[in-house]
Amino acid sequence: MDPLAENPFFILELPPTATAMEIERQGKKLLAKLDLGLATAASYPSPMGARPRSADDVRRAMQALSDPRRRLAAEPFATTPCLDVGPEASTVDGASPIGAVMADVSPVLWWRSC
Amino acid sequence: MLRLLPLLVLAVVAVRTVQQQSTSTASKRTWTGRSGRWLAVWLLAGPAWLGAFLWLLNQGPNLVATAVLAGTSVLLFPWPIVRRVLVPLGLVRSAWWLTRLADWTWGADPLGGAALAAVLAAGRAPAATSATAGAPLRWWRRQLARPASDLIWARQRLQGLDLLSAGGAMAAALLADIDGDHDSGDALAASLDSFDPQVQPTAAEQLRAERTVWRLMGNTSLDDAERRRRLLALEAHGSSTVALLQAVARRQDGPTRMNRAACIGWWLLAPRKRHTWALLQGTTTLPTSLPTSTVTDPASTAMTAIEDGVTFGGAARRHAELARAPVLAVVDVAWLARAWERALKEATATVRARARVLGVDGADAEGGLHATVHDALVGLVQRLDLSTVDVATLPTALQQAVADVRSQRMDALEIAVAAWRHRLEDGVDRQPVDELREWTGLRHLAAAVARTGDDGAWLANEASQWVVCELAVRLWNVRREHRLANAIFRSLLDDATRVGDTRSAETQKANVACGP
Repeated sequence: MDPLAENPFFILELPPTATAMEIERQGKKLLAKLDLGLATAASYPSPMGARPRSADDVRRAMQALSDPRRRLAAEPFATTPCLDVGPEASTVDGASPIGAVMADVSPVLWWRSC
Repeated sequence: MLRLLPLLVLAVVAVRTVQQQSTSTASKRTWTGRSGRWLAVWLLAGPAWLGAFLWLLNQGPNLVATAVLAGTSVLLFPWPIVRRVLVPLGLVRSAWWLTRLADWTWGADPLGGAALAAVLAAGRAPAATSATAGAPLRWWRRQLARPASDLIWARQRLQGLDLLSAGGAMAAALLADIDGDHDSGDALAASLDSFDPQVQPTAAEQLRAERTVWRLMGNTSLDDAERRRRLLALEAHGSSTVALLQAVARRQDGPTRMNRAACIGWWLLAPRKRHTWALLQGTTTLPTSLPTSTVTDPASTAMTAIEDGVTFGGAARRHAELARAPVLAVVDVAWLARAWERALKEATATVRARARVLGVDGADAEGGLHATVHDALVGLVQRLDLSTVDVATLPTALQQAVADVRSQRMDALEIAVAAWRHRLEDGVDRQPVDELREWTGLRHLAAAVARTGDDGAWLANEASQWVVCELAVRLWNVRREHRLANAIFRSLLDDATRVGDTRSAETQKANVACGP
């Protein structure tokens, strides 16, 4: 498990000081939200940017934090500042950046994936 | 103006031909296999085409002249018709048959070119399932829908290809893309460099350049600046599409800004003008500032922060920044590894205290944390190219991560080599395209080992060269697959020269001298 992108504290959006009861409550709350299909539960902020969150991720995170050894390995990373969006595209005044200009590039090429 | 059209067409053909022939490898090519039939066709069909055109121009509509014009156009310009008409329409079988007439374009590799055209058309046509979704032009879409049999047909043409060459290799790369295996596609496309220039048509190189751009644009981990840098470093090989994209990129670049007229010129030459119009629109105004790469200057971060004292949180923050960066510098990761060493040492007391609270053995807890940091460093090392770096000079934590990565990659290479050796010992032959796939797969594994240190290339070469050489010798002597065998010998010669293995280099020089 990547300690930054898939840290159980980030998945559950809890601080490293969270108690077992808080973890249980937050996990259940997230599982219920995911069951209802709420968009707010579908992703979580991490130091690597926003990442998708599934019910399996939540269950795995709850399981990891119930194991003291795995919790100890995750705790020190859990204070790293998170980004709730992906890295922003750089913009240029007066002209589009090349990535945006060429966003529609694949139909230009002869080739396209299927 | 209309009367000048035939001359204009001939001029465009001449310009494109000169453009294709002026690329770097083209100058080494011979005219073998392309001159005879091509000249005969042009001498016979050229005047007929011109005559029919002038007749239509002066005398008005005429069925015979139209038929002659259409028939001779197919004979004179088979490849442009395949690329601009048959491939976009997804007409797999027609693309295959017509490309076989394209002597001028495919020269010594007509079947490889035909297989490539068939695969291109098969990949180009909309899939039958999506084409049936409610649409106003349902009938037309149904006609264009790709039946599964077309792809199977194209696959069979490629599979049955003998005397495999650059065209076949490129077709195999595109087929891998259709199957969603882009890494194999990359490895197969890279194998084009190993083929003898005589059997490496410019059209295959053009398509490779276009595929490279397509892969580059699909790489979401890169920022704008890095994309532009890589795009400009590419050789267009006469592809007007790639040249247009490069012109647009240069237009946005500071020191070598491209004139807008040149962008318009490339836009006129490039196909699919409706799609490329947006690109041209983007060049109307010049940018006042340019995006810069998010990669930090390696020298600016070296060591300073460590001397100030690095906390665990500080190291984790820097780790996240590097993991997000599109390109990694070795010096940055080395700095990070030193920071982690320091941070782990300083965190010992805290971890042990916390372990006591949670009822875990202190040494266990410390070991778990070290293992987590090690795994995180391994993730960064996977992306590093250390082929020119003496691993012994790196911090211990990074050395351990590199050793882990090298060990995993060597295991994969050795397993592949052992499987190959068993197959050769059992005398099991595969279709030439499958042999190519296996060889490029092995090369991919060897290249991964080579990126794990300055002795990585030597290790990979030692592990794989003889079994690869055995296969190439068998391909040459027994199966008469001279072009593929020659490509493998060339690659082995490059590897042996790079690692300074003079004995092997001499052997491969003699093998390469046998020709394609």
